[in-house]
Amino acid sequence: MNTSNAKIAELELTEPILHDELVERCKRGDSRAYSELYQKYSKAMYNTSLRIVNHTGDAEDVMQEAFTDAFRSLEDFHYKSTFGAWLKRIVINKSINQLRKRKMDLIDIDKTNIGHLPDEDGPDENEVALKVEDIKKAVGFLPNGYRTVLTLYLFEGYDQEEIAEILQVSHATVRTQYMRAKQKLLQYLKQGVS
Amino acid sequence: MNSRLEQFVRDHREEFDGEEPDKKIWEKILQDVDPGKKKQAPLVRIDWRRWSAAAAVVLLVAGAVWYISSRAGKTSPNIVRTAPATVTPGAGDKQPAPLAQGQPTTRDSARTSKEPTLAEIRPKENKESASQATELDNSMNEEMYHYARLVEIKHKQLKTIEKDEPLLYRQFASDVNKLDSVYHNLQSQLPQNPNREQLLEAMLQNLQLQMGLLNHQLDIIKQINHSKKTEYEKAYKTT
Repeated sequence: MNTSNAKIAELELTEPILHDELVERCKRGDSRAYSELYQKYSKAMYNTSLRIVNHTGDAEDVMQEAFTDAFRSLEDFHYKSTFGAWLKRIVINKSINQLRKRKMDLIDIDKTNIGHLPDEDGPDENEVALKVEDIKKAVGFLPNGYRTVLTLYLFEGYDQEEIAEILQVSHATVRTQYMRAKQKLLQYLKQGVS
Repeated sequence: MNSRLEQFVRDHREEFDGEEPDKKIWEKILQDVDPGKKKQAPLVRIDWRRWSAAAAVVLLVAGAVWYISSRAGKTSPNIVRTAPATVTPGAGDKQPAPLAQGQPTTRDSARTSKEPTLAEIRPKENKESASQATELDNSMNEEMYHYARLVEIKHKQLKTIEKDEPLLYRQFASDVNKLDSVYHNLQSQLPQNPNREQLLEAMLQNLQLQMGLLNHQLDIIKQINHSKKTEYEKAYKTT
């Protein structure tokens, strides 16, 4: 199963993207296809959004907006990427906008949390025990800016150039932000997240 | 950049997507999007094979209708009225589809569209009085006239693409012509056919099919024009 998934992933990188039958059915107005498309992607998209906005209500708003927008603009989707990648990009952009709406909030957290933590010498990665649940919690403790860069790189698989483009910042900023975010995450993990 | 954390996340990626979204979200999206309304959402890329398949289905249905009604009896080719929707460009505005002899012509489409449907007016008894039969004929003729007019109008609209897309136009026109020839065939059987009602119904259905087909064709043209426009805009922006 895993190997076949990996194969599919490889194919997606090299092969031209084939027309997605489910998407085509939606374009034709098949209402069941809409439901199937939602079922297929909703969970992954919800988790993606939740990691960025860090708030279930906001993530739900993002989901609703993103899927509505995607369904309404299906005719603008031309298979330049997979449908999943296209939709994810919509979800991410909306999540970031949601965060920016709460900008005051973001700055406060940044100041209070970064201040007393050294950015340079964090714990050695090899000394920290890694557990899925702990990492999820620790990511939630990260300040908004760090968390966004870290999730886009670590979980969503964007490279640093792409993240720089999404966030409209320089590549160097993304690199340092990611390194700091990661140090902080490891620190939380070492301290133990409660 | 060291990679233990990255590797761990990659290995356990699916476990990180464990949260379930609220089921109410889908209901809200459904309300916002209302996919039922999107039935006429434009296709950006038109699959010609799929379109031909649709046309084939339409023709099959028309053929079946014709076959069923033709079983009612063979007749002499005595034409009652000429075709309302010939492709010849000569059919001018002032000469709409000619009607059966002695039919009152009405251009009030709002009125004709309110005519009772065939199912409602069809008498249960097979043997009906002469007056009932004429009444039925009248209303059906009116309805048919209405459709014939619409088909004619759509045809003119379609004709406007002949210059830009001659190939497409020819293909479209041939599809419509096939239906139209079935219509003529039905018409020729009308005078002698004992089951007049059924035949008229078939003719009416044929006209409705023609209109549906023309509507689809016009939709496709609209979409082509739309995608041409967007492609042009895209090219203009990128260069």
